[in-house]
Amino acid sequence: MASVLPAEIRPVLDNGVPLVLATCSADGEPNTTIISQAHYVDDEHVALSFQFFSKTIRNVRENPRACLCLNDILGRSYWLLDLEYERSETSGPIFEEMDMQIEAIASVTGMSGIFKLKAADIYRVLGVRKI
Amino acid sequence: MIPREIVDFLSRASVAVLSTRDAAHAPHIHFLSGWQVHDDLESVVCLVPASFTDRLAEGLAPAGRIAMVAEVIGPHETYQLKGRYLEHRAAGPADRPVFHACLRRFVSGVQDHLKGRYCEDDLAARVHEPAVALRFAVEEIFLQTPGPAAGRRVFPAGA
Repeated sequence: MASVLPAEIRPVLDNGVPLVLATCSADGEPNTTIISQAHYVDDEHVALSFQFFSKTIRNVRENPRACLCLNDILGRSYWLLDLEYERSETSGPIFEEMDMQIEAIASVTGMSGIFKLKAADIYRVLGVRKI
Repeated sequence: MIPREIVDFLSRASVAVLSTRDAAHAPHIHFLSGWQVHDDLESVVCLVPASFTDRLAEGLAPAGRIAMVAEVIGPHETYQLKGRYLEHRAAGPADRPVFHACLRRFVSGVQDHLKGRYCEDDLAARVHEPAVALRFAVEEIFLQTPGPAAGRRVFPAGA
């Protein structure tokens, strides 16, 4: 399994289609959630938004492993990324760009004002599979 | 018993995904081709396509913990069901009506919400033929519709 993001995944990350994120608590309880965006950081990292104190946020801080599924509808494929949480950023270019994208998505979906970015959580890519 | 509102919700949901985890507590995602509340009203039958059965066995082996999220596309109505693996079998002809009903809801849900951004063929191609029918007992249900109430447990009652 590859651990570097291929170039062809960039447009999929930007296609605006919701993604699925799975995490797991330290005591082994999986959690699944639908998220609005994932941000390309470099070919070994993606950033996910931290907007609410959720089970997902708690899980990755006690067990850093995660799995992300991207939807490429036009390409008729899925991408599965095995991830490991590394750190959170509350300022800087990644944070600022994600904050703007979240507001843009919120306004399009009629949820402006509901979402507020607390941090950009940075994950290292452990593996990439195309289905 | 799964609340009536959740039984109704699952019959309207347009997309659903299952997560399991392996012995190292690494989570794995399995997109579903169909889902239905079992006749016992205590469990849910999930149809998993062959494309998403990789790691399913190792995900069920250690403790059989399962998390399923389902959404009605458009209003973003979302619930997460958590529970324990019960059994699985090969998907068969009896599962076809559930598969086709879920496929139709996914295609119409995306098309209604995104107003022709994707054609029917591209959307239908995303819902793969089911290979495995997996049943799990529902122990907890959480509201996940975006907003301030997201994360609230709605089952068991009074929790």
